[in-house]
Amino acid sequence: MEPVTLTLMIGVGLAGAIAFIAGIIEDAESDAGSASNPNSQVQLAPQIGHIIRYYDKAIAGEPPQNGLWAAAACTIALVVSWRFLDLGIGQYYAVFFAAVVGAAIVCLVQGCFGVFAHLSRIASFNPFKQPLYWDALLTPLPYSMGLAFLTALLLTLLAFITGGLLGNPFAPPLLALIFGVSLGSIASGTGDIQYGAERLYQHHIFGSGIQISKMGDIDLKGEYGFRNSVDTPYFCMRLGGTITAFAFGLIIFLDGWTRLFTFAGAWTSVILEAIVVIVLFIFLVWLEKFTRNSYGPYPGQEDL
Amino acid sequence: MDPITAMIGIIIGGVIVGICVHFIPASAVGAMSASTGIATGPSMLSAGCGLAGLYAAGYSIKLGLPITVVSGALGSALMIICTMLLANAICAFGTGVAPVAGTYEKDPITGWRQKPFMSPGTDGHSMPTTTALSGIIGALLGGGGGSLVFASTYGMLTEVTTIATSTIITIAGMIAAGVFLLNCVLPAYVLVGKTEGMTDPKMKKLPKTFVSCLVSSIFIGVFMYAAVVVI
Amino acid sequence: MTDEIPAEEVEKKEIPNIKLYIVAMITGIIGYYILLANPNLAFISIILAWPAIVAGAGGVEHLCRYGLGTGTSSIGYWGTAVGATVVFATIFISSQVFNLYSPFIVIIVGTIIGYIVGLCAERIINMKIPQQAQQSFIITGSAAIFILIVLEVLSSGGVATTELYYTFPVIYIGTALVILHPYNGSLGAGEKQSRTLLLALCEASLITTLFGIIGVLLPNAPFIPALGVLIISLIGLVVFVRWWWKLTKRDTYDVVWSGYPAGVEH
Repeated sequence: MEPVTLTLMIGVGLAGAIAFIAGIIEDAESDAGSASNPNSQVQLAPQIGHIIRYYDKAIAGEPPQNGLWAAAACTIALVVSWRFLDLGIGQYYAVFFAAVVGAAIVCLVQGCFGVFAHLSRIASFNPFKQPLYWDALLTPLPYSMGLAFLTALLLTLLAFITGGLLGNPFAPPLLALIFGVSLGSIASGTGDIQYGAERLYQHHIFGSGIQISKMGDIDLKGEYGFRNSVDTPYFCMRLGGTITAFAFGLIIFLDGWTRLFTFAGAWTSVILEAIVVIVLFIFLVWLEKFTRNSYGPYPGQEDL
Repeated sequence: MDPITAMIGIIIGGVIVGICVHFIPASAVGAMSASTGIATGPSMLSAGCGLAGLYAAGYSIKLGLPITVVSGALGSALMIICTMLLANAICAFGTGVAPVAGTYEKDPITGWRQKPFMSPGTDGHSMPTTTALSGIIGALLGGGGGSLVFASTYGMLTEVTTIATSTIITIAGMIAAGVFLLNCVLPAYVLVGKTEGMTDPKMKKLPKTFVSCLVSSIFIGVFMYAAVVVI
Repeated sequence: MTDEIPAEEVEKKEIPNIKLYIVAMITGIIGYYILLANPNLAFISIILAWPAIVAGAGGVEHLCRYGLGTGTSSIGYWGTAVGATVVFATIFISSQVFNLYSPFIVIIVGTIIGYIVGLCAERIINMKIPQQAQQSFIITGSAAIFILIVLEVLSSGGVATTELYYTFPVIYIGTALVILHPYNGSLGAGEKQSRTLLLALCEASLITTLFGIIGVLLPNAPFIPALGVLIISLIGLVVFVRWWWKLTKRDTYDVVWSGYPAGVEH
């Protein structure tokens, strides 16, 4: 086997693995701060009389905030690694240490944004008599910051791997921005469904969907006592987080995998990617059939 | 690449990006399994999918325009099909609902009836076959349009300026991302935060998107041309 | 989102965004020329750049209060994309990164494109938002002038190095986030302009702190100007956060250390 292909293979495997872990952690981070679309439910709760103890981080949509964490961490990592290189530390070690520095700074910035958003939103709930509970903010805050640290660190490493080992011509900060925004939109498209439709509405019947009229009537109790935002990720990580991770990891891995072969010249990766898309589409149709057969029609609607 | 051709490429790419948002099923209420579509805002989802396409297109930028555009399109399609497949999986195993569309009675491809499976009080759940196909078409358009902007900007800058190639790729990628984000928000105004793809009645408003995106893309394209070439 | 604000109360207290925009443009242009005259005075320029974020956040607030049909985040994305693309393209105009005319080119082009797109939304798409075109160009113009000043600080007296291009993504997305987040963060029925704009100041100083850290570490780059930016941004952050917390505390219904909602089983 040629050395170039070996490097590529190691790169593809490593990128896929890192992308997978980043997906799990990113989804947990957004659930810990009740960010993204399910946030509208947390926002509605005080209006219909539920006093909440959720951490209402709500830093914009998930995609831009993740883009910022990843791009900022990667830019800082890049400039710090240049400084390390000046000191005579080898390149690969330099990148790893520098990534930690970048992620550490980013996690402080995330904490600031989160505190700003939570305090401001609670103040805006004034007409609904929602008090500010300091412990409801301070318990999930370090947890959420830690998850942001890991997300930024992993996405930075992913950007360096795709830029270095796989040979993507974009600069690492731009790659980090791309991965951050993509991962954010994937996580809010897949993992957040479990948070928004199941975890927030656990006291409603499983499989009933969430009617528009029920919205805002969120579950306020945890497994033990009143629910805080630290109670959420351990539930959502079991399915939502893992499936988010599966989606992101699959994209990065399959995209890299199609570039390992050269049987049709430059068009090889295009042909293979088209095949992969068709196969996944067949899986989708099969999954739809399986779901319909196992659940059956909604009770009382068989004749519609 | 000839700068004038590149400018036209930027404009066409911008318009295609605008159109693609209409095809990708997305709905913010989808996060509560209360309507059909991927559970996030249309413009956010299109941005994520377009940037994934840009990442794929980056690998083949030096191999010429057609291959860049096609790899960008397929990179986006890969991203959207993974997202839809696993979103359906979450809906099936995490929240216990089957994929149902709100805008048609029978699925045009598989012929399965939709209404009996819809929970009362909702507009549908996740992505059935036809909606998913519409998403793939949208992603192909979006990724292709974004990559066209990327390749055109790259061509324009290599032709005119003397900056190093590796730097030009990054700048072109940044500008392509900017043009993409600029154009994918205008359709979101038309869609009002929710669309079911090509079966949605809002497809009739496509000409409005087309004209708005054309106007804004012309301004950006002409300014790019003026800044790089004329002055 | 259901934001029902009594109309008369809003009209009484609020500053019109267009005034904020004019102030931001004037301070921005002054800040740019101070920087051009002496890069070491960057700490003054960065203070003069903060009003741009305030004006942009005001524009987002105005547009999103009317239920835009798209997320708050999309509009911030969009406005900054216009501003950033304009600034990044301006780099190619002359051999120097930025020259004597740059702020005018950036502001005029950014404003025109923002206005045209806003006009498209108003006339072609028929959105029912008053002053949409005006508020759109406020966002794009503010983003453009802010990004221009930040890039000028990081470019060590106008020299375009490869390292400078590496900072584009973070500048773009950072500006987008601070423009859209003040309104997104204080969303709710009791949202007030004073608190939103103060939050914009807090976040503007936070993000310039981040840019200052990057500037200090950049090779061949302006160590002294970036250090000045870093220090003045940290001071600004502390001052603004204290001010903002005073208002927030006044508006919050009740501040308690811990507890449960009264009358609910637990």
